[in-house]
Amino acid sequence: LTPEILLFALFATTSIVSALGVVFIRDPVKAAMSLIACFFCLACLYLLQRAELVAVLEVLVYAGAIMVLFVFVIMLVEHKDDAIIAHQLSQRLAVPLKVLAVATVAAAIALYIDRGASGSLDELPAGFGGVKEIGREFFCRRVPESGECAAPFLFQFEFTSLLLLVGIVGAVIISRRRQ
Amino acid sequence: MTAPAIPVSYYLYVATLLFAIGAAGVLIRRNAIVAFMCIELMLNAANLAFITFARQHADMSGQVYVILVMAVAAAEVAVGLAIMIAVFRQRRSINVDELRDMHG
Repeated sequence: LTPEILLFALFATTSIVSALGVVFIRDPVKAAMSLIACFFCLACLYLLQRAELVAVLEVLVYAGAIMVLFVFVIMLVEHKDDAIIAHQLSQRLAVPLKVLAVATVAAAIALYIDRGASGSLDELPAGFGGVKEIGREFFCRRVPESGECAAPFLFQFEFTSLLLLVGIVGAVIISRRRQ
Repeated sequence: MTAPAIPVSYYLYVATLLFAIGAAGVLIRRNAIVAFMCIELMLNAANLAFITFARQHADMSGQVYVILVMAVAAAEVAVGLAIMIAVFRQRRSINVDELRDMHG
């Protein structure tokens, strides 16, 4: 029973339980909080598979930016006043749960660093999943035979910037108040 | 000393379960925003499968696809929530059962 198996079991069960929470919790704000917990667990599962950049992006983009947008819109749309006020019991449970969550994430990162020092798990190439290697994948992937640069994802990368621009403009136009 | 790796199939079971939960949520929940959150959950289940296959084949293309999926999801959420705000302004409701104008 290695720490990795323990962490996998912990994060896998927590992600599934919090995903069930998204479906079955009635209050949309609490469902959104449950989804944030699920995204954190997924980020840890990514980290266990040496996808460090993607794990960081998961927390920044999904648990951060996207869920903030969700919570904003829920609070705009739901007009119940009691949606935001937590119950006394859940308030008391919240602090130890948060401390526990932060501690396990810290343990996962510590394990990750420790394993990085003592040799890779799957004999994955060095730097697998890091920022540098992913950047290479986008812009300059070495072809093994000739040693030349190939960029198979360059078009997708540039197209993503266009997509995001269109998304921003579209969101502003759609949600604008009509005169 | 290297510990034995967790089998790829375990991660895929988790991804499958998350996808099924998300799909069930889209079908069960009547609140459009919660249904939308369940769609995000399904996207993340697919991302987990991508990451797992990237590890299995020691090829980072899977991780690149996850980054692209995240960008698409961000644009999708921005536009989708804008549509929901626009619908809410008109109807004062985002219950998917009450929005029946496009029924044939």
